[in-house]
Amino acid sequence: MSEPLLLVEPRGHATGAFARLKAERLRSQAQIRTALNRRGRRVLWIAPSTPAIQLLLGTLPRRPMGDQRLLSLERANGDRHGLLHVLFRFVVSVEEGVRLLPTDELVEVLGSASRADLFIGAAVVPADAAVILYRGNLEPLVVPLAWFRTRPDGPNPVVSDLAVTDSGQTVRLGDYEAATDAILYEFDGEYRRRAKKRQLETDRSLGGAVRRLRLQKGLRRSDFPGLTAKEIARIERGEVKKPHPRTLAAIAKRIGVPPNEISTY
Amino acid sequence: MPFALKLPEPWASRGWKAKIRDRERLEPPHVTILHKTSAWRFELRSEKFLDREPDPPGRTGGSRWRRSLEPRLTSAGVGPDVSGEPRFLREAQREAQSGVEK
Repeated sequence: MSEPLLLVEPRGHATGAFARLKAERLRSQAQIRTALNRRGRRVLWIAPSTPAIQLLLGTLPRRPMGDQRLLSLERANGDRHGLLHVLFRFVVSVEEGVRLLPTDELVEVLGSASRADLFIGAAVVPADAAVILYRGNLEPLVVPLAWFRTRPDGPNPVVSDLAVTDSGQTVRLGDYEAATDAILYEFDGEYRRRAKKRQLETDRSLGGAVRRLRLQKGLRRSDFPGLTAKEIARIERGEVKKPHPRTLAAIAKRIGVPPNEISTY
Repeated sequence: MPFALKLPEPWASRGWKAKIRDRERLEPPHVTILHKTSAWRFELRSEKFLDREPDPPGRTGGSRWRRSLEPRLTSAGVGPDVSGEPRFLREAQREAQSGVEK
């Protein structure tokens, strides 16, 4: 589930670009204190202006606040910057060389239920040959530059021209583009497991149907008399596209479905 | 440069994109249709959408949108070496042009 959004907008400093973002608006110290007491542990704060950062820092307790995250769209001076990092678990701020999405796309991503699976900004760490990508929930993800490998006849990644585009769905390095989906699939095990699960649920092949039916009946692959677990696994993975009628009949008998109806599940 | 379909109006100005980026999840081969924070992967071998969700914003009825689109996104339309545009986009363009002529 997405963490709640708290938009700090001191009176007289409302940010037009954020008008359509569904977030709780906090305009005074009292409102910030109330929100702090009411909210659960994980919250995403947005401070679009310098007065917003000032208001926030003037109100928050001077101690780490657990899993609180801050997106700051304005530069803060050195001391203030250090303080923000003490108070918040994650701080994404333009002053750290982070290139953020254009504001309209940023609002789109922050308002999305799947914002954790989209990127909002990126920064290069040339000394370590890596790129830091920031997700919509502000969690950073480090990707080695070597991962952005070139295709034959494809463009070379240009590190100095790094940007997140397509509303967080693409990471661009010059003319080179990488899909956010591919990056998360490779570097986030939890995302990979979710993607795999979705893939299996929507698998329209015979193997996919066999797998769904087997799990529905609570059977293990070794629960099919006359067939080995390996054979069942190969059918489920689609390595055997057209099983022998005898094999199919054995599977059908065990799961209690006519052989010609298996693929309809 | 990633492969990007040149979309006709009104699709392009409404922010729709269709592309194969330099680094994608390779299997199965697909083209990705992008609109704001949503994406739909269209498999090039089976000519079917790979993902059940999401349906486009404002559309209801589960997979109705996908089912209505799949038959029109044919390999003849999608391949970069053929025409470069899915058939449904060509049809949309033709309809728009005939509207202007009338």
